[in-house]
Amino acid sequence: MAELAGLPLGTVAGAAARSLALGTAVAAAAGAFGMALAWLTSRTDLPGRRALTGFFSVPYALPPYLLGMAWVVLGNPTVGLLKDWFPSGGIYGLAGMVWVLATVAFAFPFLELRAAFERLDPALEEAARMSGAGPARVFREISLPLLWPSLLNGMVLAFLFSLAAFGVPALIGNPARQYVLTTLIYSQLRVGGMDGLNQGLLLSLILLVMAGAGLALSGWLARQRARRGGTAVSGGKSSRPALVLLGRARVPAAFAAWGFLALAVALPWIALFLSALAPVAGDFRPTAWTLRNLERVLTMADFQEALVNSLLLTLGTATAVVAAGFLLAFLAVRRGSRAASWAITALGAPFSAPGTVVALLLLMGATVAARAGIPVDGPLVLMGAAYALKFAAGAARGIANGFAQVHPSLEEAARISGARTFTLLRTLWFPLLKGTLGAAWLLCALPMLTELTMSVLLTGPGGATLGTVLFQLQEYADQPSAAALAWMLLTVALIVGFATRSREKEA
Amino acid sequence: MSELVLTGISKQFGAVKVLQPLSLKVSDDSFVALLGPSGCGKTTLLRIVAGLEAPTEGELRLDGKTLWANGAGLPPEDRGFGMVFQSYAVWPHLTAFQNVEYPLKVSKRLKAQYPDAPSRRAAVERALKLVRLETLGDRYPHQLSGGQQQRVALARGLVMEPPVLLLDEPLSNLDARLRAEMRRELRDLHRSLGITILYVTHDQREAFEMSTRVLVMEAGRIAQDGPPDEVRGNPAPGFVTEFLSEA
Repeated sequence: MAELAGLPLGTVAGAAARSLALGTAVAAAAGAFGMALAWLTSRTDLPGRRALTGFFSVPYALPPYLLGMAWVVLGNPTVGLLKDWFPSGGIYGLAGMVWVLATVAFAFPFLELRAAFERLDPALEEAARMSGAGPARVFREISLPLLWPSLLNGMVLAFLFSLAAFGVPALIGNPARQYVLTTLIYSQLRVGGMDGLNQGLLLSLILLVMAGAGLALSGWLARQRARRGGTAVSGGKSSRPALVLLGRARVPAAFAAWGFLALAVALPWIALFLSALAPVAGDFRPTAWTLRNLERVLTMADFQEALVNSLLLTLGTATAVVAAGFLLAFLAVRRGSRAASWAITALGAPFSAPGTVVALLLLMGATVAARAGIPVDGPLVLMGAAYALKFAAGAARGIANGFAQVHPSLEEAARISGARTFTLLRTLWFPLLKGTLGAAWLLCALPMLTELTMSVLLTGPGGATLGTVLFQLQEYADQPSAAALAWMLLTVALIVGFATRSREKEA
Repeated sequence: MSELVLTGISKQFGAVKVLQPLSLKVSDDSFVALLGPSGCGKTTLLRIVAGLEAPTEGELRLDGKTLWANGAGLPPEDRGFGMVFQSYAVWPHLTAFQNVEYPLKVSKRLKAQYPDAPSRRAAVERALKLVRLETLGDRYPHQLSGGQQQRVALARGLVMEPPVLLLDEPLSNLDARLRAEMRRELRDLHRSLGITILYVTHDQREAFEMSTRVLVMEAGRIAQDGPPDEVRGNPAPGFVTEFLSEA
């Protein structure tokens, strides 16, 4: 049988094909959900569309593997809470992975399209109504062609997100022996030794090529579009758009939209909550409810170590990343520094690359450094470096936008008053950009706190994090404890998500 | 013969009364200018006629056909009005020709009238000729100037041969010279084609140079209604006198 670096070729090809299928299917599903929901909340008289818009940005803040665990509680073929509602294999398998990832990834096209609908001159759609086209036709022939670039952007983000996903495929694919590239890399690395590392590197190269191909394809499609003159321009007064009256479809549409939210957010939370209270997996009788699971988790030494580690890593790394981003963005935007611009661009690579690849390259680097006699001390250092690399570009770009939005005359006035660079940063830019910096910090800190994909590869003795402890509990089949921890984390994530949800401006 | 009749039309956004109940008859061949400062409700009135906005109360009829009554009515696509927007609203993914052809392909009434491509082509070419764009049909909007884009929008409205052509501040994004040119052309088109026009503007010059009837609006009410010479020569005391003296 043909082999690739000691791995059966069939295994490699199977995982690669499954990764591609997963990414494509999630992108398609997310595009469909995202487009439908963005149109309903932007252009129709859907009941509660303002509130829905805010809620739909919440799944974005939820670690997908927590939702994956919830769906295992619901759809485990033998002990699942709703096992009768699932096909015979339960939630396990490719379709289950696609569904769970799509309930998070729809937010990428949704948020892109919401912004695009807002920018799109409503008169373009109204002119088509006046020409005699009904709402469905206007959507098909006017809105969709004009919003296509935003839809494509959102779908590419969903594709990259699914390609890089580790937790959900591990929870929902592995039990059905359906491996994707990220889970195969993890299992090869667990074998250990240089062999495992080499195989992992080879597999991550395939992963990287697929991510790059997705980006390149979308860039090419966008350019084709632009060549045909299809760029949407907005202009004129921003009038309140004429809402499409849903009429008889109003109630079913509201059910579908609110129902999707319930399925994506409320049902998983309830599932974890019930499972956290169950004495053993699958026993959901209210009379048997117990707080023992929560107590066991909270007193577990591993959990306490993980909590301290995760908090320290998150606070330290997010703060360092935002501080560095602040300086880089200042130099790039306000001082026109080429080096700083270049650094922000370069950080885009680990930002877009799958976390698994970033972690493996760091592991490789640490191995090389150790051979050269430079010991890289402990898993926490590696994880901190991984988190910083992964999230720096997002922070720096957000902060750079903040700098670009402030009129240069504010800085010029301060300089004329005698302020030097450091004083400028302290007395002008920091107070002006406090909100932006806070948002950037949260945007880094939230995913870091529950990070799994990279942590699971970089962890070691003394290096447990919330993500890795949870993953271990689930793997070693202590499901009630895992559910208790997952429920606590999901609750925290939901609170933060709701508190920071995007709010509709009062029109 | 087209006659547009508004009876007791009012509009409220939350607690804000944008339009006081007002009644109005727009008869055939007239060029009616709705003139007033921003926020007076003139655009809302036009959008209610178009069907893009629902009135809070009132009735709307066209030649005896009910467009809106008792809180329900025809959607904009079934009213058959042509409309020209301030922001042009020409579709960037379609050529000038395709923009003008669009209503002929989608409107129920026009589809029957222009069943095939050759008949549509003839109609589109006629409309493009009216706005002097006959040679630019293959261009995309981004290859056209602002004035040319506005002509495409106008042709798209004219091609429908609408009972009433609605225009919402169509010239306010153009520069002064183009505006003067377009004022002349719109007036000539109205005279030669004999179409009925409802025209929203805050610019007195546009109202008085082109229209056959001026409605001055203030705070959701009609402050004065009459032929342009009468309104200009004999403005109603108070708001209208003050508004007209500002120019």
